[in-house]
Amino acid sequence: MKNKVIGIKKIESILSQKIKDVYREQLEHKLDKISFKLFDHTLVITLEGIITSPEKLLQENDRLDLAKQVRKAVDDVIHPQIQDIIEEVLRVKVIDFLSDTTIDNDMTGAIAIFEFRQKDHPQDYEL
Amino acid sequence: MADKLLTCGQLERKLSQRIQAFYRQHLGHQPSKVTCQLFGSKLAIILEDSITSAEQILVDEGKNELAKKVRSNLDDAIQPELKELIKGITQVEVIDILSDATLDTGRTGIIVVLSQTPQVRNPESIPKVKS
Repeated sequence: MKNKVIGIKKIESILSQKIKDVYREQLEHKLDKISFKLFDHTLVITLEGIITSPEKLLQENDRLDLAKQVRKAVDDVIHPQIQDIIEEVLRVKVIDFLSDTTIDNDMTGAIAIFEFRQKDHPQDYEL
Repeated sequence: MADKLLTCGQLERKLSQRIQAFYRQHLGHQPSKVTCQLFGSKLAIILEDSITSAEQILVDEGKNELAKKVRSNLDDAIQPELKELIKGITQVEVIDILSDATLDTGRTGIIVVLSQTPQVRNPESIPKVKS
């Protein structure tokens, strides 16, 4: 029974790697840092260094509006995948996924509100 | 000096109460619940039942895109004052605010990027950011 308990550090490490993989494989981009905060039925994630080289170039050439449009399209593709990763790794159902990106500060923040699936229990995790 | 500082829980509760009042004052609608959690130099805020009646009417009438646009513009409009409010309570600069809302659930999530971790009486209770 004991070996079913998954430590939070392990969960964060798996989440972190899978999210980095999505950015690397689909955007050819390496994230600087991923941070987590888990409380109640909520996971807060911040991703730093999310702006890709083409977006940076647009921003530096006074095409900030276009860079924002690109980022919105990228986020629309990537964020549902992050939600799927959370559901898969934490074995939860995400009932709300709130996310936003700031190009100025090169950061994405996401808040996932979830419920545990019926067959799983919070005590399966060592939070 | 340390006696005057709030604990982390007190600071989070104060932020929650003041933000709830702020939304009531600015949008004429009070979210049913506001939760604040500090982690490192960031603050997560979750507002339940944050959608105004006007936006709800748009959603009910199938005008979802307009409702999303209204929400986005409302968030942008109140952001400068929300920054000032958070700065006043935490006594640290607000670098950026990330915000998103779901019209279906009425929930708003905000992540506030602070210049540093606010001073509290029990700093050990603020989780260090893991990465």
